[in-house]
Amino acid sequence: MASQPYALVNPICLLVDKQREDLTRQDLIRVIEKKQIERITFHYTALDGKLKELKLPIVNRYQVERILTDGERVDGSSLFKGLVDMALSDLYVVPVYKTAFLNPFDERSLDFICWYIMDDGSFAPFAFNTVLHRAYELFRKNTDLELYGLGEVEFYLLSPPSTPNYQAPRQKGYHGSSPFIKTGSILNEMVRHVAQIAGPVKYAHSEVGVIENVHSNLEEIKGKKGEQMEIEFLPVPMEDASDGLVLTRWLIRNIAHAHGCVATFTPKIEEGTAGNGFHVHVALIKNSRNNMTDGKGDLSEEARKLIGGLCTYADSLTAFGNTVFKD
Amino acid sequence: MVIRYSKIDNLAHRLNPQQKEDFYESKGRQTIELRSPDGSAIVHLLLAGITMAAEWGLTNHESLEIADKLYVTGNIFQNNKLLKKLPSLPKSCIESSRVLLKKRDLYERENVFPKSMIDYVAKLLQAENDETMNQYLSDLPADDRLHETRRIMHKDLHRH
Repeated sequence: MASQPYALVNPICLLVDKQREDLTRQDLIRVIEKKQIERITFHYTALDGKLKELKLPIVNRYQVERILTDGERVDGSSLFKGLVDMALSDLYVVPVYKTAFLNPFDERSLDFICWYIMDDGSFAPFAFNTVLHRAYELFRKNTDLELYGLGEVEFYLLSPPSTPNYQAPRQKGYHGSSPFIKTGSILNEMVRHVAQIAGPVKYAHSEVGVIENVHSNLEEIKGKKGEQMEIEFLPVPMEDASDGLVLTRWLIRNIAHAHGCVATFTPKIEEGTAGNGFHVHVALIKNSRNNMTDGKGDLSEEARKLIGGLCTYADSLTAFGNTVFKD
Repeated sequence: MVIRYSKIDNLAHRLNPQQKEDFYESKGRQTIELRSPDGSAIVHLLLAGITMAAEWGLTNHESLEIADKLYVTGNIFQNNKLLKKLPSLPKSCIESSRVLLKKRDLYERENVFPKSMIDYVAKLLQAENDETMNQYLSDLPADDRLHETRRIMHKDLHRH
């Protein structure tokens, strides 16, 4: 008996019966025709670390072919204001086919993560994913290994106060369940989309932080109830991990918004309550196998060298990992 | 941080004796965890920096010695003597920016991070102006301190 596809397989892979890495323009056109797609939406990470988007309506096959082949021109000087001074009209956003996904908030849209390419075909040097790409190229050139990574995404889900029943004690939310934790079903919805679209998820759970009533001058969060959540991924190549993490933040914010909630990843919301970390795991991979331990289960020499490298960089890495004041 | 996985396979066997076939995880799952980043991280640049660190470690012979020297077991936060022996991370964004500018060669080598990117991040951190923030906050009357702390904490609800 042929086995049924699993519920969290990316819907596009099901439609064309292919792995994401093997998707071609022809496959994507099949998806567009089958799903009666009206527009392609390009997403790309800008200087504020958030996904930007461009909507491209499609009326015929020629137009789709052109969009998927050449991408679209954007104003780089607006997207990267503060980083580049020159007029950057010759910047293109070009779709990465393997990132294609059916937009969960817009059923007529086929979406992509794009990279920035200059008109001479080179990756835009000032784009965040170009920097990661160059770092990864260097790593691969000088080692015979692959570097996989994963993030632990923590956030507070802030919702209008509901029933006073089954109060979760402050700072005691770790792995809490309903009825004490009220937003578990929203977390399920987030994980469904994240796992189908953004990357393989290891697990998700309620985290330590529980705030009964947020004190703030900001109307956006004032008086709301806060429940801290975590989604942790499985290791994938570093470049896929980072695009997936930015997309994950986008998904989490949008799903929260659809439920009348606010999701925030900000490091600290209230004194004395758990803050939002963003821990990162890395693993060395050789010939598709984890190379971190030796035959006896102890750390391999390569793993210890990796630790030595991370220790050498650790203090300066806070420049990228901790960008706001935290009491 | 390194969290070890159990060296014993098929733990569920203890509870489910009716399960006759074992399952073996053949690819391995050991990772190393960097626990300093928080929700304000610039994801791509952080992962790029970590990749540079990994490359540096694997291609520089002194990395083994550095790892061995800093290797400790147990909970360092419950052992003050041990904690004092270890170098500490920057305590403010301003200090982070200073360290970044001092160590910028680690990132700019082989043209991976453009100079303008390092300058941009350093400027972003300096704008936090937080080196004496804790002192400033603790000098305020209690009510003002609470109010001001919240204002600062909540100003970047959606930073990255």
